[in-house]
Formats: sequence, C-alpha cells, structure tokens
Amino acid sequence: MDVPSILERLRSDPAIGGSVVHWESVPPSPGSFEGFPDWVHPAVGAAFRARGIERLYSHQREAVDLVHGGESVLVSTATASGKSLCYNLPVLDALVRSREETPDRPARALYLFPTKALSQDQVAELTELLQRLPVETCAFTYDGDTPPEVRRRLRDRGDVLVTNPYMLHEGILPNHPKWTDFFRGLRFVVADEVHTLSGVFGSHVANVLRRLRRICAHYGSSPLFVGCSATIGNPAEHGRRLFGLPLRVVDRDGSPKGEKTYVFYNPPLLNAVAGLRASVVEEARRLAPVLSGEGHQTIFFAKSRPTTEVLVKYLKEGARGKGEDPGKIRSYRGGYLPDLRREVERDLRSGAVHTVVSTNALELGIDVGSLDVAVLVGYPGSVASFFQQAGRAGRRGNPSLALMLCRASPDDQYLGGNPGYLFHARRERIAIDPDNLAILGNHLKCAAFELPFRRGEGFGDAPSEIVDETLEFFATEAGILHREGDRYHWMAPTYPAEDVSLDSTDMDNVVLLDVQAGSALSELDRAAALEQFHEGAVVGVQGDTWVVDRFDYEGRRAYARRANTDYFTEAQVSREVRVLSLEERRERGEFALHRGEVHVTTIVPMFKKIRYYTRENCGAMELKLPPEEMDTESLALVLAPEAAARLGLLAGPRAGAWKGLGNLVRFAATLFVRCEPSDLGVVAEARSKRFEAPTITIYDNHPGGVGLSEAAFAGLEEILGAARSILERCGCRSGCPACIGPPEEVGPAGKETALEILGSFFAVPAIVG
Amino acid sequence: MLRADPRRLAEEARCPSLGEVSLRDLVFLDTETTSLGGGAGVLVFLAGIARVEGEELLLRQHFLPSPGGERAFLEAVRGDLAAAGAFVTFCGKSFDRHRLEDRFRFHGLPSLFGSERHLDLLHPFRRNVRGIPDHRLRTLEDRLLGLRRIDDLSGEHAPQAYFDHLAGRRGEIERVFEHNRIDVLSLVALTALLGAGRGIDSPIGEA
Ligand SMILES: [Zn+2]
Repeated sequence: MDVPSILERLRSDPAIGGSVVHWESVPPSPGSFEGFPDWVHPAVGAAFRARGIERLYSHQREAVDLVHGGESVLVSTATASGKSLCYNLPVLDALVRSREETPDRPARALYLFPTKALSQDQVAELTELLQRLPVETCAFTYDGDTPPEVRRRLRDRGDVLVTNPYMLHEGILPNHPKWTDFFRGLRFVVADEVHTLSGVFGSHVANVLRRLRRICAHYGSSPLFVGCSATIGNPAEHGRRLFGLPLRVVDRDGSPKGEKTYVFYNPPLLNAVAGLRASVVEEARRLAPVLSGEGHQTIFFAKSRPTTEVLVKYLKEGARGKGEDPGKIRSYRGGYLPDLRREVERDLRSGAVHTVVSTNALELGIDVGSLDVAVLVGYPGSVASFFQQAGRAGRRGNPSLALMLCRASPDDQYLGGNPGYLFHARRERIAIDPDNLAILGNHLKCAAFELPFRRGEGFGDAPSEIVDETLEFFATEAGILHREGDRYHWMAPTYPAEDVSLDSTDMDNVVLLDVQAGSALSELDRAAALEQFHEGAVVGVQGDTWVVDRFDYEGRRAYARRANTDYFTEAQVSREVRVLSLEERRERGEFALHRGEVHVTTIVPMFKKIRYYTRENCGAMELKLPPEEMDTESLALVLAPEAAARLGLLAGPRAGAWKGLGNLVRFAATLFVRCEPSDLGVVAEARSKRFEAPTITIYDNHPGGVGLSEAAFAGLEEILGAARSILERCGCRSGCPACIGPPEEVGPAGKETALEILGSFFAVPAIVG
Repeated sequence: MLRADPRRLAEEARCPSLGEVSLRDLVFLDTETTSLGGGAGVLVFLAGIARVEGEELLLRQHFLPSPGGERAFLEAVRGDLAAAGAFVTFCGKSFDRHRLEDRFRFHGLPSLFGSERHLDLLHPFRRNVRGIPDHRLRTLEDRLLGLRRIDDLSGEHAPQAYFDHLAGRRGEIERVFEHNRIDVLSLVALTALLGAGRGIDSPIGEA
C-alpha cells in the first residue's frame, strides 16, 4: 500500500477515525538549493559529486561558508536534512589543502557522537568520501572496541578521529602526550546530536570540551566547533554554553520535503471516571494491518525494550495469521550484537524487511534509508525525539505518515490535545550548567592531571575566582596538587578521570549487589537509594524481584537476594526545603514566582508493604536512615495566603489539590525543558517558612543544579498553561494518574480545585517589561 | 667486569639487532614515577642510569627536585641516554619507556626509544625460568642471584615518598634512591646471567 491509501483507510474506517484526535498536514516543499562554493577544492567537490551530490541545500551552503570563514557554527535543522555535509565538506577541504600547503602539519578533525553505533556508521560514510580524495587520509573510530595494537597506529595516522564523550574524557585527554601530532593539527571539533547533551551529561561534556580546548592551546591549535542538533528552542544559548564560545546558528532548513501527515491517535477511554484508556501496544497491534505490510516500509518506535519484544511478537503472529512472511518483520534495539544490528539496517535499506519495531536506538542518525510510515507508540519524551522518530518516514519527495499513539499519561494527553505545541513553535529548551560546582570541580581535577594550572589561567568560561579557589583547595586541603610559584602540578598516584562519571553529579552512587554472587545489580544516586534500596525494599531488576537484606549507607552498598514476594514496597518520604538565596522574582496577580538556591533534606522514616493487585497494605516498618542533604537550584510558585483561603486550600477536602498540582507542574516542566521527570524534585507546602504562604518548590534533583529549574523558571507561564490544558482535556472526572493524580491522593475535589488555582493565575494578564 | 655474549643476549631477547651492540654501549635504566599507572599527570621523578666505563660500572641517579624543573631534568636524562646502543630495563617496554616518552612529548622533545634495541629482561626470564612463584624482579634476585634485599622500600611506596618530600614532610625519599640503585644493579647482574648462557632455567638455590 502507499501512504495516500493508508491515509484513506484511516479516514474511512469508523473504528479508527473516531479515535483520531488531530490531523496535521505539512505541505511539500521544493527546497532551496545553491551550488558548491568556489572555495571548495576541486578534488573535494568531485568526491561529493561522485556520491551524487550536485548541489547544496541553502542551509548547508550557509553553514559551510561560515565554517570556511573561520566561525564556529551550530546547525539546528530537521532529521534527514543533510547535516553531516555541513561539517564533512569544510573538513575534507581543509584536509586536502593542508596536505598541499603545510604537509608537515596536516589538518585533523575530531568527531564526537553520543553513541558508539553512530560513530561506526559515520566512519563508514566518511571513509567512502575519503577514498575518493587524491591524498591518502583515513577516518577511524576510537572507542572501547578498538584493539590496543591498532590504537597506536591510529593515533599517529588518523586524520579524522571519531569517538564519544566518554572515550574523550577517560581515554584520550588524560593521555594527550600520546596524541601530540593529533592535537597539534586539530582544526575542527564536530559534535553531532548535541540536543542529547543536556542536563547532567551535557554539563559534564561542556567541561570535557573545556579540557579539550586547554590541551589544544598547549599544542598551539585552536579548533573551530561545529555542532549539529535537532530543532531546539535555544540553539544559540545551548551552543554557547556547551562549546564555551560564541557561535553562529544555522536553522533555516533548505532541504526539500514531501507531503507529510501527522496523525494523533488517542486510544478509546475504557473507564471515563478513572481516565483509563486502552493500552497503546494493544492499539498498535490493532492498527498494524493498516499501517504495515507489503509494498511500503514502516517503523514502530516503542518506549522500552520489553515493549519492543512484545510488539514484534504480536506483529509476527499477525503476519502468520494472514499467511504472510513474518521474516519481513524485525526488531531492533540496543543490546543486540553489532552483527545483528548491521543485518537489520542492511535489510531495511534494501527493502528485504518491510516492518521494524525499534527502541529509540534507531532514532539517531543511523542510516537505514527513509521509510514511509513511522508509528510512535507513546510520546518519546522530548520534542527533538518526536521529530527525529517521525522524520524516519519520508522518502525524497514522497508523501509520508507519522502516527503517534497517545498513552494515558499527562504528556501524551497534553500533546494529543495541543499538537500546536509541536508544530507552531519550538519551545523545548536544552538546559546545562557547566559551572555546577561538583561537576566543575571534578573536571578541574582531570584538567590539572592533564596539564599544570597557572594561577589566574581560568578554565574556559568558568568564573575564574571559583577556578582559583578550587585549585587552592586541592593544593592545601585535598593534597592532590603541588603548588610551586604560580603553578599547580598534579601530585597524586590516582587517575582522576576514572572516578568521574559523565552521567552523574554524585560520585558516591549506591550500588545494589547480589548478596550471593557479589555482582552489581543496579546503581542509584544516594537520595534515590534511601527510598529504593533501604532494608526490606523490594527491587525489580530486569524482570526479577530482589529483596534488600542490608543497606550499608556508609559503604554505599546494598545487598539483596532474589525472592518472590506477593507485595511491593513503598517508602514514605518526607522532604523539607530551606531557601538559601533568592536571585529572581516576578509576580502575576496573587502569585509570586521566585528563582534561587535551596537546601533540600530528605528523610525516609518508614516504608509500607503493599500487596500486588489488591493494593492492600500488609505491613509497615520503621527505618533508621540518616537524612540526605543537598544544596541545589530551584524555582518557587507562591500563592498569596488570602487566595489560598478563598480557594479552600488551607484545610479540608480541597487541600490535597496543592500537592497534586505540584506533581503536575513538575511533569509539565519536562515538556519545556529536556529532562526526565526524575531530574526534577518537587515539594508542595501548605505554608512555607520562608514565604509564609502555600509554596510549590521545583528543584534540580542534582547537587548544585544543572540549569533545569533556571530554564523552567524562564518558561514557567508556558508550563503552567500546559498543566492547565492537561487538566482541562483529561477525560477523568475528579483526577487520575494522567493528570493531577487519583482522588485517593488529591481528594475528591482535587481536579476542580487545581483548575481554579490555575484559572486565577491566568485571569490576570502577565506584566510585560 | 660485565661478561656477557651479545649474540646470546640477542637470541634470548629475540631481538637480532642486539647482537651488534657492544656491551659498553648498553645503558641500564630504571625509573621511579608518581603513579604506577599512566597518563599525562604522571611524572618520572627519579631515573637511575648505569653503563660500563673502562673497568668500572658508572651509575648516575637523576632526581627531579620539584615539578617546575622537569624540562631541565628530562634534558639531563636525555643527555645520559642519548649515546645508548641499547637499553636494558626490567618491564621497561610496557612501563618506563612509556612514562619517559610521554614526558618527552609533553615538553616537545623528540623520542629516544624509536629503535628496536631494547632488552626488557622480563620477557626472556619469563620464558626461561619456570617453577618460581612469579617473575617479579624481587623474586628473580632471590632465586637466581641469591640476593635478598634488607629493609628495601617497596616500589609502590615511592610515589608517597616523593609527595612527602615535595610537601616538606619527613619521609623516605632516601630509601627510594637506594631502592632504585639496587634495581639498576640487579639489571646488570641479570644481564650477565642471561648473557653467560648457562642454566638460567635452574634456580641457583637448587644448583
Ligand atoms: Zn485525569
């Protein structure tokens, strides 16, 4: 079937059409083209032409001209808009020219991709291009899979080094004396998929890049930075924070587009009171005969590995039932062996497979060709991911379809009701904070290991007084630096990069161990471990249940044994926030919005055992755990006490709404700031000590903060608007897990009260200026 | 004073070009570093270098008094190593050589270890000597040379001794010098044993 016939069936079948909540049709665009720039070396132009590239999209031309002119650039355009050409063309040009002009100092380039699979894919494409050049050049991946005997040769001979932030951090930078020729010649640093460099990970990577630039300066090079990203709300700001230098943004997409239809499908309500909807996996199974089959190619994106496996099983059964070949339906996810993944990729490109079910592993730029239909089984959690998954459908100039199945969760339900959020403006911000003290401090250690620090030298765009204070602390208190004159030398027997994980701020993660085998089962940061790894906790690890025997808080270890329980455990958590400082404030009617630093204390005094299915409480136990303390960044929403009294929030049946609203606002924030809900914490108080009024505090759930609540504060009105829309559109009567929470938690009047609170917020126009 | 057959050494080391090197051109090298791992933050702070001059064995120890003087220190070490026909080390192919090369590169100094002429005694002794618990230098000294160190500072304590020295704390830096000196002398003795071509496969305790 072709896409128009599929659309026709979706429209005409009443059993389907009734659940379609929105059609969005994006008309085709012929694209805007330009020729190769005159400055391109003839051999490089020829190499691209030999691959069938005769002209450039206008954004490619804009980007390559800027890079050639010596500017750092962030390209923020849609999936499949030819972003790799934006860096490959100027890089190849420089490789060839430098070999002609300064043969003793050939240009080199470093490519960073967030995953190993992507780097391998990129090297294959690059090698094809390089082989067409008249000079001998080579590109290679350098990652955990590179055999040691090959590494040395690659270090000396590689022109384009393709790696990931982890390898750069732990393997390459601390060993830069082995890479002297490489760093001396380094002219370009390319970072692709930089919208994935957000939150804690992005804040770490920004510091890894500070270290990289410092090492380059030592060897006398000063590379340009070229970043590529999906379309995001704040490309200039994100690029500047990540690379630590001013750069130009290229975001006017000139690639041609076929007609694309986006369909939002909301599974029917099964129970209107509870807001319960049919499962998206079941609905995907029901729609599969329409969406996938012979004659076109379809990709299903599932949110988890188990869902991928379940869905592919369903689809294969369906194919068998119809007498079709189930071998043309495959699954794809991380965790498969590379050979198997390559095989599926190849079969997709050749058309031997017509349907693939994948996790987000296929969302990033791995080349599987373009397909016809993308089915998103649930919102993938960020706007960038939504468009990357949807962008997998769309062959040059042909019509394509992206269909999203909305789960019964607040974000999916919000998007189903407000597709304009996705199409009319790109509001999702990527937040990072490279100056987070814990993260910065750890990278200062790594940097001091790599090169001695001069006092006053600074570290990228980090505040220089903080850098000097930290170095002095390392020298006098920590005893890991030796100060000689105005220089600090690393003087410790350790390898600091080994102890710095790019995925967390807290180096004291708690590890859950199998008490018998002694092997690690899982890992959590300390605050989360208090709630989940306490003595008696039931923990699920990959389908098995484990019970924690002992929690060694000091030793950062929990010991568990496998056990089949008929109950799960729920820790009772109490959190207190204390305001440390306030940095920004604005008002709207009876609300005050604040941004500042808070101290958060988490106590877990007890936990409950709850029976599966019946949810009956079958016991509670006290815990004796020390409180967990953290300073972090936050925002606060404060309601005037008179308004709270009027709305009935102070006591009685309506009081539970405030807490429910806090959870909803936290959730809505993740629509506007790229992060997981667990990256943000929330505390709703009926009366805050500091403000003497009802207060919802949302904070970065990472010591020191990584810029999330700062970005959320900037867009708080939009976030509250989204929260209101989720409440208004939710099919439930008085609260459910897809909006404010079930009535047992927020009270029978929780939903209407929360709507009244938000209504009074928006009743007063915003003060502009 | 050092008797050994270069061809024999070359054969044992599986490195034919060593056979062309005169014994007088052998340079025995052992270093002490601020970490037993690698990476840009690891300094070589002591290099013990010995060679045969006339009828004497000349042993010189270069010491890095503080990290700011590293370049001068490395140039002095290079001066002493430059004329080497071949290096003799223990475990140097995987350790000492890389630590020194990293420091040279760090300071933009050219490589010294480009040639193949490097006799790392670990490998021939590991191939030939069986029936001993391990092939650490200490064990070979004990079983093959009958040498027992008294009051030797173990190599893994060398970094801390150097940190103490830099911080002006009373420490054991003198014992590191002694430890390094004995290491170099053992290299000479083991080379003689290897070059003599008799029975290194039978521990002398049993001969
Ligand atoms: Zn609801």
